[in-house]
Amino acid sequence: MQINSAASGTSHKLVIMGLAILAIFFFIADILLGSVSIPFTEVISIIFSGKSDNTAWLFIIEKIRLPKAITAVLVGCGLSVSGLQMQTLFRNPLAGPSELGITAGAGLGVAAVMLTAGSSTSIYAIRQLGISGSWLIIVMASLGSALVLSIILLIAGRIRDNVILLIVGVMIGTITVSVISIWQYFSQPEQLQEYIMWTFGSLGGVVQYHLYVLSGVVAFGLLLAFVSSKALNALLLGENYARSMGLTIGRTRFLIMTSTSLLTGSITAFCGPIGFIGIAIPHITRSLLGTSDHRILVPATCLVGTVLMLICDIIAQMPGTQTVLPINVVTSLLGAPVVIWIIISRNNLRSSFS
Amino acid sequence: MTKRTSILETRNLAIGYKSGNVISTISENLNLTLEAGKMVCLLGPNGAGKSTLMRTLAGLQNVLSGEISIEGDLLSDLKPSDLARKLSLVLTERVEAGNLTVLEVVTLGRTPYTSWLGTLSTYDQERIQQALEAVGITAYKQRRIHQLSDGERQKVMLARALAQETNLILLDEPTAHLDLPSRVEMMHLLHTLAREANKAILLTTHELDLALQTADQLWLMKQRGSVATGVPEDLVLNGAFEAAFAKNGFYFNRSSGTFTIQKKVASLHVSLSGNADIIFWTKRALEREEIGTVPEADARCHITITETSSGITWQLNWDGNKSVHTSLESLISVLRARKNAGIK
Repeated sequence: MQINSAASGTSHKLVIMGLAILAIFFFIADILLGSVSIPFTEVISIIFSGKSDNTAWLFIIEKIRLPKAITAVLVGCGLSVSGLQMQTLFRNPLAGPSELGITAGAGLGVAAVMLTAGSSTSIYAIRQLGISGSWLIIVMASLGSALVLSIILLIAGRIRDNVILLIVGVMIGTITVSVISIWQYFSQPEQLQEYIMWTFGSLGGVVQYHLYVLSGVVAFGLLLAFVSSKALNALLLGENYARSMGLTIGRTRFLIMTSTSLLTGSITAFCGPIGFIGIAIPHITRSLLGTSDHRILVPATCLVGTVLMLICDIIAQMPGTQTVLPINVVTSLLGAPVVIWIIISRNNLRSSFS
Repeated sequence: MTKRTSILETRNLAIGYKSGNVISTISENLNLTLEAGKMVCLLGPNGAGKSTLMRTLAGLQNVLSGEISIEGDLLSDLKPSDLARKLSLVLTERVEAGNLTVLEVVTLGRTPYTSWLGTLSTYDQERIQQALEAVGITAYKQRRIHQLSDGERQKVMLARALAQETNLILLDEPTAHLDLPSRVEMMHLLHTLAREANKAILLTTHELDLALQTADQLWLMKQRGSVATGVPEDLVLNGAFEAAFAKNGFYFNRSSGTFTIQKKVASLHVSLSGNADIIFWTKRALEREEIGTVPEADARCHITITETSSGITWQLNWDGNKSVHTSLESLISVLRARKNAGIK
């Protein structure tokens, strides 16, 4: 037994090490690649020393590419960990921030800020708002996602069937989207355009203190997720067993909900509703590591999320061209096949959830 | 030496459901005691409220009135984390976390004792090892849950409850979904655990004969919710057992300890002689054919059973017509033909 568990422990470590190396590799690649080509040695020296003779390159790296790569890491970690938490909490393989309408809830919060503010307000204007503005949008988006999540959890208490719960989640998401649509219908064209641009998703808009705010909130959300990993493990056996093992279900749900809302809310507020990462990454991670232990899954999901988000960002920039694709399009193009694969190989899925 | 300490006690307990202002009481005035070192089976017909009682005792459902005390502390005063160190559960619901290995599931049993991150101490490791051994699943602890049979799965959940190191274990239908050998094995395992580890074990089951054989005590729940308690044999002899399961067409056979389909009046009687075991099985086969047995002197028809090294033979003597049969099947076909001919 000692040998066996030690062996599986070592293989986990190896996979995590490999993922970490990949993450660093793609992080550098993400900074290296773009519409303007900058030599590798220059990029390295700018990252580590912060100096360069070419001020344009310095500006591109420091003000555009580095923040964007860091944002990609934050989004990759945050969305996939919140997806992981939801899949365990709802005991449903198809649960995820966008599938259950949590992202739509965050969108509602953002819409509330963007569409109700005076006509001069746009997302760019909000970015000019400074630190209080970014907090406002984070708080609203988090509240929006928490609202949707708590409605779903409230219903989840009454419904035992996971499939029905998922349908309910999708319906609530639809309702939220309709509310946003009504709001859009009565909005000024300029506001509408800003909002639609926001829905395409972008990793590029998070700079300076917005980045600090986002980093802080995501770090806090991830910390909460890591702290609740023991509770998440207990929840794997179902709520009744978890309760019999001393878990206070109410508090645990609250903890997980807070973490999920903060992660989804803050990321959605700044980067738009980015789909599929939340649902796909946890599945990839589980099949990669072959474990359901959240103490390993939470950090590993972060790494896989980081790697895939960086790859998506590299694809979105379409290296060698001047065009930039919206990030949401890329993640969906990559994520949808993964979801299809999950549904087709239901046996794989069954082993985790039934 | 088994200490006579009561682990679980209820005083004037009323159980049932409360939704809004509507209270539906299933059972009230329950004064039950569960002692250490004893295995108690909670029996009752479907819908008598066994599950409700179990859920209430486990703290998963609120009491309507009265109180439950576990090892001297009131259940309502215990924090979930403290309760988890006194009471563990094995539920009927199928665990749907197939990606977990047996060892990981049993390790989860240590949840109430480990730190916030769930790091295991040497003592935790020992307890897990002991739990695996007690249930006899050490050999497949690295297998995944979804690769296991229902019987093995149930044992894993029991090992998890043992790893939780509680004096009281509640099991809701631990023998459901299991085949007969696994059911017998499970009941004996639980009985051994109660005796050797001095645990108080309460389980619900529909296995009446197994419960009669293995339980130290029975809690019989009747249709109206009243609970009769006692040693199985006492409950059989005073009729409580039969009353709890009373239903048309069935009667409780005290001599065999099983429920039997109501006998019809036999139209033919035979007498039997030979080995007692074989007589027992022959009688069973004959009863199904509505053939009764009577003392030798009263019968027109006599069957002599002889057992030799080559097998069993039934010698049928019907008014002097003799035939020899080597299986009950051929004996019965002859008797059936005779019986039908006799009726005509």
